[in-house]
Amino acid sequence: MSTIIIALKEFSDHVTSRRFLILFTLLSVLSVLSAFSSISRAFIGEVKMFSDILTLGRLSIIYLIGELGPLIGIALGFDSISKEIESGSMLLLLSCPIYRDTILNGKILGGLLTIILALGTSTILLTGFTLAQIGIAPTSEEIIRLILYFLASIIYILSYMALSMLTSIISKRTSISLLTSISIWIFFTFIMPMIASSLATILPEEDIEGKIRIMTITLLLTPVQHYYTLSRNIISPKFSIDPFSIFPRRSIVKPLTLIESLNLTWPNLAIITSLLVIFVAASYIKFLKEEIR
Amino acid sequence: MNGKAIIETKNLTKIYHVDGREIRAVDNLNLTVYEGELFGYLGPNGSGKTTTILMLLGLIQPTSGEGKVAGYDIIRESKMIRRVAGYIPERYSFYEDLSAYENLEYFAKLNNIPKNEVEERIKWALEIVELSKWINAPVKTFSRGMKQRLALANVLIRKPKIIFLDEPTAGLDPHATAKFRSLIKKLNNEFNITIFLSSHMLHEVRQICNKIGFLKDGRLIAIDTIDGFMNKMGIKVILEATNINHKIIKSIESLNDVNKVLKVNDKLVIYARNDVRLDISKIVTGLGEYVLTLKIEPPTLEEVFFIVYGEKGG
Repeated sequence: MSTIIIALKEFSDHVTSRRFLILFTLLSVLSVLSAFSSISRAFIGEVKMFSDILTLGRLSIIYLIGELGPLIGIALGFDSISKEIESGSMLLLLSCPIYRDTILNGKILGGLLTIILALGTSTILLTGFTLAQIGIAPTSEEIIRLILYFLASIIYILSYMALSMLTSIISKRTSISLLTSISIWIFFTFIMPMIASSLATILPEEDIEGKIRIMTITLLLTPVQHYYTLSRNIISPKFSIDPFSIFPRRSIVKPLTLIESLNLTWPNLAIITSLLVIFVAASYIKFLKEEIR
Repeated sequence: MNGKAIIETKNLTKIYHVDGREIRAVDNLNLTVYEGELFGYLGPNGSGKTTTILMLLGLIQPTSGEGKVAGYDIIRESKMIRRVAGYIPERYSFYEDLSAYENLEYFAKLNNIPKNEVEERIKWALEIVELSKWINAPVKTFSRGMKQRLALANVLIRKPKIIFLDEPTAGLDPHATAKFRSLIKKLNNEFNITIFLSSHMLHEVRQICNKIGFLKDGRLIAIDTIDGFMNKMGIKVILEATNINHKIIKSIESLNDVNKVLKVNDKLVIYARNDVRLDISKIVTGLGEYVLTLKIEPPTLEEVFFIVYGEKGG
């Protein structure tokens, strides 16, 4: 019960915070832009089925969530513990007859509800707006795929929230926690791909296989790459990407069944889920042992 | 002592390791506080007062030793302790954007107060701390004194058996301090709530408490009632003479009943177990000087600590 009480307060704090409103507005605007992009693709005949709305183009929701999703997670987690320690409200919380894990559970649950709200709104905006314009209705299988993608995206964003929560616990300073979390996000989302390209240029021009191998190895160290791969595989039956490849090949022989797509998806999902579990577990261990004065 | 023990510790110890050094924040603490007492936990900053409170509430783990609060074990039953014990830390904050009511409602829920009693208890607690008028005002508009009273209301809503107060009047103006002190006494008088007040200010402890434990470097070096401490000290004699010279001081110091002699400006302050005025008078006149004033004054508690334990009160 205490977990729910804390979660509801967290949720209320998040959705009324300026920082969340800015990110939420940004995500909503980008979702509408993504919808316009899909509509224009529909006019030139690129959008043939519902899943194309979500996967095609640089403005597709996969890219939006892949790159911006972590920012939402970080915004929800970077001060979750440190702010309460800095202000002194943590001691009032701890003096209540609750266990420390209840506090973390409440904060994670509150963050989860907020992520569902943000992600749900952007997905509904994008699909609703596009469907109304181009009139391609999703099949029941595509709806299931969309729900699965939605759940995977929640895990992806939640893993960044857990990471920033961990930095918040370790640093006990909001500013340090924010800087650390943002640096990690920038490094894995934007710098690692640059490093991958740079490493590939070291090899001789003709060693195409070597270049691909080195880029693959480097990019597979980033959560966002796993997210892209699993998203494409799970959303569209037209994709058949090797979980440990970096190239979005389309399945040209015949569309995959949902089970076949899931078989391709689970390794990437397992990696992202592992990150979430590791960050949450580390947060519990650190927070339960922490001596807060 | 009266009644049932509400706090009992046995060799309670907390050791911190800082930069490879071992710091004994609390060292083999053996303490008993009884129900209904106004207990002052006195000691200089860094003497281990807050660490003791946090261990008693189960918020930090002791390195060794054991303790019970309201019959609950501080290691295994800390959650139960926090059901019956309130705590006002030295530094804390409410949720500033929320109103007094919203803050108390949040903490009331976390204290498992039955839903149908929450509103009633909040109003009752705010009435006691005289904040009813500000029930819907955001906490960010509150003065430090009002926040401190709100903190008291926050612990009252759980109807505690004991309240731990850590330097409760630090940063308060004299008016707010007086009001807060009278509230604490009222809670003790009217509701028989045991008060455990930690402070480095002797005058504060003296004004509120009826029993004092004195902590130095993590060790409890003295524990007694205020009367008990005063009796240990005895009396204070003030001497003014035509010339207070070294010989006079030496002679007075050699008296059996004299604990300590201090020269303060032109006066001599003599702390003694019994009335030594006649002996002093003989010494002064015997050494060729005249007594101008020779009177008895009650020693202050600060002086008791200074003389008996070598510590200065605040």
